[in-house]
Amino acid sequence: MPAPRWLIWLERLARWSLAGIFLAAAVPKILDPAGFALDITHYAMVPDVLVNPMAIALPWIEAVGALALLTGFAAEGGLLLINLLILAFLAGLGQAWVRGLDIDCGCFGHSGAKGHVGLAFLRDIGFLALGLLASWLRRRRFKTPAF
Amino acid sequence: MRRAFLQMIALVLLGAAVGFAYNAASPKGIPVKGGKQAVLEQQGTRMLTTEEVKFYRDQPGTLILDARSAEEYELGHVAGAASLPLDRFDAAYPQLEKELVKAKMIIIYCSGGSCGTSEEVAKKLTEKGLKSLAIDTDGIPGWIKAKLPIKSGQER
Repeated sequence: MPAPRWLIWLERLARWSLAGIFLAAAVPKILDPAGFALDITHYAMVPDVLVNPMAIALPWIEAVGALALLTGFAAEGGLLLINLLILAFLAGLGQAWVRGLDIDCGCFGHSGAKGHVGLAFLRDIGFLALGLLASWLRRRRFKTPAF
Repeated sequence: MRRAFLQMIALVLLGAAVGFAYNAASPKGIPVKGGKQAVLEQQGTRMLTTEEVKFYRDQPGTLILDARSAEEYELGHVAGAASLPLDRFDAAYPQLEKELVKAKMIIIYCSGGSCGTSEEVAKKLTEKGLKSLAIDTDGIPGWIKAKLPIKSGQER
């Protein structure tokens, strides 16, 4: 029996919203890798040798994950990837918040302005909830484990 | 689960491959190796430790800039440093312009390792056409730790 229309559209809406968020986050970082590399160093949790490769690859990984969610191609893998990325971002923001670092989050590109990492942490909790909801809806839609 | 995991690995590899290819082709690409220092050097800015700043401070033509807020500057700054706060850059720059243009070396500091304020000020100065820029990576905590002269108030 096919999934009801409301479920199909709700699953698409959740997936596309997440895709939009991650594309909006990836594009500014792709356009300013130097700014993103400096933002990464301010978190003081990544060894210096990994900073530049991370600044080069991570925004594209976000973008590819977002495109998977947008198109529905490899969407299960895309959802797993995006949810794991959000968890990693939460770890970075959480430690910065606990340590009281007054830094530019860099989440949606390099702004040069200091923002409250605590607010970014809480916002990412919301993104994680959306990611988990999208995964759950997809599992219900196709009656298969999303991950 | 296995299928999702394999898809995720493929997406990560694809994203990383595209990222490195784009970086190699893009005029805004950054060096893969060398970390923060390589990125700053690409922007024409050197990284200095407190010890190195101490050396350059005594050389003629060196100007030290405090990129923190005016309030933080007043509480305590490197003796001899001028205040050029990032949050008041456009207002403060004209007052220092002549000195900045004349300077043979401009060293900028903020609150230490995790503060990006000095990097932002360096970027703005580069955009103004200034060269011979350096960042004191240890910032004011390094200066205090080394027991070097600190001054409070608005005067340098």
